[in-house]
Amino acid sequence: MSAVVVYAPVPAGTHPDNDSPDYGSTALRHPKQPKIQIPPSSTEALGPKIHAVRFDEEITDLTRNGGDHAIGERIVVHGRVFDTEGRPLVGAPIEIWQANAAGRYVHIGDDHQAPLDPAFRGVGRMRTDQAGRYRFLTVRPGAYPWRNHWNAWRPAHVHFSIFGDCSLSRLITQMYFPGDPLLELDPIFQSIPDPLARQRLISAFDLGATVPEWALAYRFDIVLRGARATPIEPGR
Amino acid sequence: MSGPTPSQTIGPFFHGALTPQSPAAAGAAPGSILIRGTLRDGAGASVSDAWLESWSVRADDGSLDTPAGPPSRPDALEHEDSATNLLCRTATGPDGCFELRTPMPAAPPDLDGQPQAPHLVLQIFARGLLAGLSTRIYFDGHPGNDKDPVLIRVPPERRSTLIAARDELGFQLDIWLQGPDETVFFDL
Repeated sequence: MSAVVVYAPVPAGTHPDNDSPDYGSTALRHPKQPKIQIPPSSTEALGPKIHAVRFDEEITDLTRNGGDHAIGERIVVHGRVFDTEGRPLVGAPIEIWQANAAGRYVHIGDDHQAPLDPAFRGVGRMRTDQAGRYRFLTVRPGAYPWRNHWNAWRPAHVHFSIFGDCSLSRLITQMYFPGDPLLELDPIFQSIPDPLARQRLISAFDLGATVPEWALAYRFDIVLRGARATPIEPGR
Repeated sequence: MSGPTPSQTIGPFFHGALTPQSPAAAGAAPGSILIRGTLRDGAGASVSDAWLESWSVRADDGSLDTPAGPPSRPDALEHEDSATNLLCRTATGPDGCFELRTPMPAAPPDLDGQPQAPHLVLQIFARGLLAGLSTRIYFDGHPGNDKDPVLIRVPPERRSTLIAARDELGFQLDIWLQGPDETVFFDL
């Protein structure tokens, strides 16, 4: 018994075009030759599976680094990971990273004149549970300037890296916050052509997931490309 | 169900967050090969803030017994077979150089049973790339290259951008995001 694995194409306008001139760094980095179509039965559709990803220690609380509490507004960032067929992804590895509350990354390349917070680690990682859920405790990241154009500021965001079941479902993205006035001005967020798809990167304030007296909460569900397996007759 | 979540750039600050891994370093298989290269932009400058992920199928297995059923079954983790699922994750260095240490990949048939030449699937993420790119690495001199169902779709004059050359330590292949030697990228 064999099967054809069909990954429905991602609707046009969902992903940004790498040729997005308003984001200056794309100028010399976007391929100019057309991409070449390959058969849907190719190696790309076979892996890597989510269990191929290894990381040691899970980090779900970004607000403690040793004994001290990170400075900033504590928030829960949580959600579920599904595929486009509506199935929750179980054991999917999620890695996140973000600036601290002042808008500074723990990274040697970040020269923004904002304070580092030794109590803030800036990175988290975990696998989704049996229902595809994930949950991090962090602080709300600050906006920061980035020199793309005069007075350019990135809206507050959390970077996400998620594996689905093969390279077609691999996703690296950014989560934003509702009501951020910088979203309208941000060429990275605005690079997504479909305005409805763009909205899917904005988390939702989630009162029900707040921790009273401790942390507010935002919900961010993630949908990865999933396979529709269609059995075919033996001997085809 | 809402549509798929859009991609955004990895940005320049991912290094402490993403976990490098190498099937060779983990001792997943003997007989590892080293593939070295430099990632370059359209002006020839090295790209020092990129993240690369390669994936392949182990050579001494040959068969590619990958269940095509629905992913993410609850028992998925119990079916782990890291030896046949050779994921390699690494950042480019300050000079734009990368090293992939991995067992020599297999020549697996695709899902239609067509033979393929040995290859790695390679995905590239970087500042300035709003969506990841997907390419392949083949190996110079393999007789299967001429009949590989993906490679033959590539115009002959561009095939060399996908074929690693032998060098004293293993294999070498530079990747060009743009320019006259632009690497072939695939639409998945």
